[in-house]
Amino acid sequence: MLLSKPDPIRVALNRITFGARTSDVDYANSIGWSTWVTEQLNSVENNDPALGAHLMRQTMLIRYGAPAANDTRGTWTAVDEMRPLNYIYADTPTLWKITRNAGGSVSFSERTRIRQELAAATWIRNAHGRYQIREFMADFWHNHFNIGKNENELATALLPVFDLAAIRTNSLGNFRTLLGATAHQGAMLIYLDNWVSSAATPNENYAREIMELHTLGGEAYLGAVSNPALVGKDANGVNVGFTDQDVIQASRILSGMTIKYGQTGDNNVAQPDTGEYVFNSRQHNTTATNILGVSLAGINNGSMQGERFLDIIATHPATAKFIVTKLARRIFGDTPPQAVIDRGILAWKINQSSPEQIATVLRAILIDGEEIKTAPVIKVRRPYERVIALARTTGMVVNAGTTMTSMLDPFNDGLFAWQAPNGRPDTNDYWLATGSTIATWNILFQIPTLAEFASTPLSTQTPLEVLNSANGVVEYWVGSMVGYQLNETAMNSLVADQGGANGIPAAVRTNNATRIETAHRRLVSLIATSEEFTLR
Amino acid sequence: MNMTAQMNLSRRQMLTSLSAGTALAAIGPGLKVSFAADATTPRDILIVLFQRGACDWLQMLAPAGDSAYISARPSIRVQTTGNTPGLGIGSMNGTDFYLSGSAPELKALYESGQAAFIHAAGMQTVDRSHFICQDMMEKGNADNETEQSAGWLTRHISSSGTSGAELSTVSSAGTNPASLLGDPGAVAIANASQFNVSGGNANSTVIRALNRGATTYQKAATAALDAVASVQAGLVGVPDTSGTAGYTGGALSTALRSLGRLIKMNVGMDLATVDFGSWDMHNSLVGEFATRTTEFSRAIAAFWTDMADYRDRITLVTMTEFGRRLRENASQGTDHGSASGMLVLGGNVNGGRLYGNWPGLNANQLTAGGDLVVTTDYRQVLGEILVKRHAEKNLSAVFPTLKYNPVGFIKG
Repeated sequence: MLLSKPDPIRVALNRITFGARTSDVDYANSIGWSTWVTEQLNSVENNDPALGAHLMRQTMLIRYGAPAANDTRGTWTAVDEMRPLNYIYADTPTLWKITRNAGGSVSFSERTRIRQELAAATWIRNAHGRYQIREFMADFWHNHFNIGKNENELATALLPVFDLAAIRTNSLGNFRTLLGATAHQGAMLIYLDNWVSSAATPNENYAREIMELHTLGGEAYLGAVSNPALVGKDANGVNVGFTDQDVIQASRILSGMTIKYGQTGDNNVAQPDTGEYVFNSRQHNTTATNILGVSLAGINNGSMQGERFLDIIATHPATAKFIVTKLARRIFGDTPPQAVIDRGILAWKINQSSPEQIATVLRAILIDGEEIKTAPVIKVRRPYERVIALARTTGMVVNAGTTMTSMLDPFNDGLFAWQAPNGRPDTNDYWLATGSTIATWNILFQIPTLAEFASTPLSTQTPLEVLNSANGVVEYWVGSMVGYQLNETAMNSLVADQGGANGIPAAVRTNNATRIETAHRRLVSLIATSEEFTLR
Repeated sequence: MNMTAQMNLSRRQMLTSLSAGTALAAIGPGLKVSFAADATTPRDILIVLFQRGACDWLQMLAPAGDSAYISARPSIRVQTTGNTPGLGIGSMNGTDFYLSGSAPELKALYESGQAAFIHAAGMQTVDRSHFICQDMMEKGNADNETEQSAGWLTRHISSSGTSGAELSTVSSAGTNPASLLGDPGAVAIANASQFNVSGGNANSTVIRALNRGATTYQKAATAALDAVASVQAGLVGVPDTSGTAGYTGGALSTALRSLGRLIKMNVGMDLATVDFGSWDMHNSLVGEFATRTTEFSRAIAAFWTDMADYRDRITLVTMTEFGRRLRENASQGTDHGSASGMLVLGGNVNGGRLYGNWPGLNANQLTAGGDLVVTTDYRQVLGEILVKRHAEKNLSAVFPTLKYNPVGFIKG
């Protein structure tokens, strides 16, 4: 019999994973919530053998011809092969070279392949990663440090390194370290124009966004303040917010933080063309004197100035408030419990220099109170979350495919597809617009039919004894996907539907395996349009 | 065919979100529309096109011969001669203006008297954040004013009481823009012809039954299903003949083409918002600007061709969150500035003229150390359209602190 209300552990799991399976609920119940969270937070990135092996097995077709004989630019040879996901572990020079030479000695298809592999790997990691809190946080930080793939091909090419070396490595670690890692990645420096910032005219794009979006937040932006001395100070003597003058100062401080792209470097020596991080003092403007009311006197080394600036903004009280509140919204929805936010901010500040700062914040949010199990379930899963949850809760095995690269782009939830640096909105209203509601449903109907998801039949999972019962198939699949009864009207309408010509029992009576599987796919997609599945 | 009877319109706004595609979308493309209560009386249609990312109007409509402009933009400036020169269209306060060489279609619309430009327009603020400024503009806010919680279009809908039909408000993004924030019935449609539930009635009937309740999600689900039913019923009578209008395959073209079909459905749509982003060109501006402006110009012209039978009822206005600094940066791009410009196109526009008050580009004429001064408040432009074409009797309900002083670009 289906539960009439959700198991509190299932509620908790759904808030911090890409979808709770019944096996997850059973496991967490058996070891206890606190132990489950601790096991997740103590995990090490890239130490999930089952996931690693599954990724290693993946191949995707890549096929392109050689350039025409009269094409003087291209020199590559034709390729037609099922190839493993090699680029997801590639280093910066390798990815850089492919993109730099695309259309010359390398086919454009190789450049495209990089983002295809990263998207496929991300779907697979999110769906099958044992350490779901890591996956949840990687997703959160990617949106926080958003890099849109349609901005600059060079930035996009370096996303696999950004993903592993900056985001995933630090997703549960220390925020200052995470911030520094993103600031030393070609993908970020290109995306926000800092790589071409110069000593003569520092570019303000990264300077503004690193404060407004990555750390202090828009609430701490004070606009143009004619007299900086009037800005209030916090307990550490740092200004409470940032002004346009701070943006200008920051642009000077950050100038010189760039990558090697063949430009002239120190001592007039040309940099190699590798895309790797470098501090180039020739591009550094030395005139910054202070930032956020803090003097830079005595810090004459340009790259030290940058590190000091990152220290100040990473440990700023506005940053703690901005990011912990944002995280609480991601977990709990538009109106997170204030006690959760308060505990998170406190943990953030106390553990500012801890290598486990973020994990500790998560402990404070997830364990040091009952809200994760008891707060109202109000959060609308965004389209991508619904897709991954559908796969997880129906036992689909997700395999790599090129459809994953841009399937969700048209309604603004594709991976790396949000173009502006602010990341996609995280509010219910945004995802309840009619256009995205319909489009998401249609993707949910499409997913089970795609080769990437269909390697394991759904129909073999249904217990034989319920296959002939409309009520039985509905209870089984609602149980897998939601874990408790939908509202009465919804249950009745699903049972009525399954008792009809499109239902599983009717398909079973035809004894046609294709029809049986088709009926299963339709049923799980229909369940995925219910409120109980959509909210977490 | 009697669309009105068929649609059985109810008191609800609809945001049709016509997706401007992914390759272009800076913030996310968008088209949102509102349909009027009485669809039997043809109403004016307002289309608000937001150039997200802060378009550089000193490149779109350049004072190309101005010596301060020439010296401030040595590598990116619009030229008056040469291979792809700017397109001279007239002067204001003694300064000659040249449209981007990538916008010959807009020049033709201007010369035929249907389009006009308001230069040095924008929001009078010292803020330079894309996200804050977009939010302020969509809420119809000004500096030193209590922040509005609803969007300016929502306040107009509620103040004028004109909208109310099922498909009265449409947006071209898959999601609703802030200008329609607070409108609980708003609906977003990305592409009218693809706007249907997979599997058709067999599935939509079950989904409707699954979501009969009155929770937020269930109401949104039901609204989506109603919108699907209306659009699909309406499209039956409106074949897509827009292939001949000259739409490109680009994002803005796709959004406007879809909007055109919704207009031809004659179900009383009277408000639409369209997003066209990626104008934030901090580096290598010249090539990117040409690409973006080409689509901007061609899509708008194609839409106008497509709308030949509806032009007397349509006003299209463009806005962007702020302009760019006069001086180019070291990356051959431009950083955040102040004033920008607005395009108005419509059957009731006194076109072929430049409006506004050109403040000049000399050092003592600039603001914030190097930005073009805003001389026309963007709310005056929007307000004039609402008052003269959209029966807005209480503009202070829409823009509380605005002292209405129409620019004069709308006839009458």
